[in-house]
Amino acid sequence: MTLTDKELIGKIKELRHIEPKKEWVSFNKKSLLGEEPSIMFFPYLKPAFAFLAVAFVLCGTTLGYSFVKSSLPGDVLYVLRKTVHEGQAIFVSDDEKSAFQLGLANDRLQDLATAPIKNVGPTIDEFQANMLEAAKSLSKMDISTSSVETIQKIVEETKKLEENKQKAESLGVFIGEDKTAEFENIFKAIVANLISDLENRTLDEEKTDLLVRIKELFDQAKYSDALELYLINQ
Amino acid sequence: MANPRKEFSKIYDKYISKIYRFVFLKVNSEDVTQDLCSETFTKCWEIYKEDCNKIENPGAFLYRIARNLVTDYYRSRGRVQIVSPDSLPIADPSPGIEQKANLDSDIGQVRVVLADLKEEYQNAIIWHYLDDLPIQEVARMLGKSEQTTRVTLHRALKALKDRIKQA
Repeated sequence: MTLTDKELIGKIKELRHIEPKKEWVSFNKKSLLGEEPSIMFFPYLKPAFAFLAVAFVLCGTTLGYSFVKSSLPGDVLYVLRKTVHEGQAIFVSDDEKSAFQLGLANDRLQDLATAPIKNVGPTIDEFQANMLEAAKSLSKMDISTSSVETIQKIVEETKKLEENKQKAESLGVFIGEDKTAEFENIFKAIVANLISDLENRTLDEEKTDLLVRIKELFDQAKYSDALELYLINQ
Repeated sequence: MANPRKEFSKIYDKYISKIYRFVFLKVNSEDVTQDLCSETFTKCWEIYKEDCNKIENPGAFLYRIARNLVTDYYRSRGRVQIVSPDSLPIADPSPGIEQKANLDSDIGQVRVVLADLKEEYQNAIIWHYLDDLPIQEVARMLGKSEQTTRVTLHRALKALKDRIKQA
């Protein structure tokens, strides 16, 4: 057989068909370097994906929390929000419970400004429930032994409550008076007790003047203002 | 430094077929080729994992290991395969049954005759025409100048052609 250089080189190049068996190549590689994970069922376990995984979890948590936080009575997610509130209430002392419930009642009043029609009813019910709890806690409180901060907080929440109530009513939402009135009655009783206590004491000129001003506010049904005035002058 | 196992895995994938072919064309046995190839990569990996910077050109390094292992293989069989560049290889005057069957096809004939060429000619042909290594790289691996390598390649082709003509 006579071949030209070109033909011979062509024949040589055909020897490229000599190939190892794929199974052997793979087996030999595994024997040499160990098992190579070819399929990543959990790619987020790779360091390169760790940041993404953490970001995903954080975003998910933040997003989920914001959904829960913005849920309204009547929404499915509100159950979670309420559970969180109940959990928080466990850690609140008896003296602070009234302010805490007033805070929740204020939240409900603020919700009313944004609540769609379907949520208005459940939100008002929830507000009333918070007011009931606040009234109960307030009735158990001994104002003479409570800290100034606790009473101050109740006063602040009560004032805010009045503002929010007016806002809600300006939007055409009627909240109902029963539980609010109940709370006010308890508040009224507390201030009345306070006045009675002051009247039984021997007061200097300054305190006598203070008592007069508290009485005036009491007569105007401004119970929180009366209580606040008392606190300021302690 | 990147993961050495991962880096060596790439080297393995790139060279396994070339080293296999290189060895197979010299020993003409699948089992022996597989054993020698495994040993070649194992030796290379042992050095690479210690310090990958020790190996400047993994391809050339693998070919060198493979060449040495083939030499050791023939030595262990009591057959001298490597001859001095100036001497001619000893051709087997009576080809075996397998060789006869191979000779029936042109490609088989080229393969058998190539295996009978002296080592330097074999390497030059395999590296340049099969593995497409440039003359410069072949020269470096043969330890010759580029000019001498061109002459070696020319002589290697001529020797191959003559052997085929005689077959």
